[in-house]
Amino acid sequence: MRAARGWGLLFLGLLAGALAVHLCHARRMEELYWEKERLKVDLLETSERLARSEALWADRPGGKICSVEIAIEGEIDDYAKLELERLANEIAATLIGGTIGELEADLVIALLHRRKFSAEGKDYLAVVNWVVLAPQTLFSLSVSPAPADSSGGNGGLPGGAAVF
Amino acid sequence: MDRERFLVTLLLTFCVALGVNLGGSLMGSLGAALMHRPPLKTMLQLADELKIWALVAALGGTFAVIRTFEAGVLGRQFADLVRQLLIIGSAFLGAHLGYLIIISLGSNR
Repeated sequence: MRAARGWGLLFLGLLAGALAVHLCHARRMEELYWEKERLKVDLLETSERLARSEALWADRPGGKICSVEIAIEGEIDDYAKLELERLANEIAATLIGGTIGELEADLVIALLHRRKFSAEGKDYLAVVNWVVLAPQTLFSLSVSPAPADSSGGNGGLPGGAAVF
Repeated sequence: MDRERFLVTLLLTFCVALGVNLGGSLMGSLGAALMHRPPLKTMLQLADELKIWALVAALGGTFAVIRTFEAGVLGRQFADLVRQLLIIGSAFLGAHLGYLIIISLGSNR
């Protein structure tokens, strides 16, 4: 009888203690619950936004090269410059239609870097200063008369040219 | 003696209704916390919902009360009728006091 009473008191004490602790922390738990709900809503909104952004990214028009422009610097006459532009354009035109993200920057530079051109009966050596890879791609070339012993062609991949 | 018994019944009804509402709401709130539900919101909701059940539980079922009403009205025993009304009022007060206590526990201040 006494043991049963003891058990009863024990459970009553347990319940009373649990209730006391619960009442002490109920407000904080309530705040945490609502914060959790808010975070769930935020997460849902962010996930939807991310999914929409990913769908937009997947459907974006592939950034393709539409035109190539050559800017030539150097102490050469205007006729030779025009001829060199034409020659460089012929080579660089192979880039048109290519996807910008898939192009290798080094290979793009190597198209014209240290290439020897002949115009107006003279040989010229082109050096790529920089390239802007965009739908309207722009090459900046420095052109100078080629040294007599220059073999032309690509003398290795460029070190100083920059791609933007 | 009869009056004393009536007062005891009145107090008993009041305490039972109060206990049903208080205990039900507090234990329900504890259960809600264990099940990751909002404890205060559940406690307030339970206190409101349990008020009528506390009344019924304190009165010990409704048939006896209805029978007493019938006897009071048809048999013109108005003293019994008033007694039953007082007992119902006492149960209601107990349940409502429990509700007010719970409201004060769960309020924002």
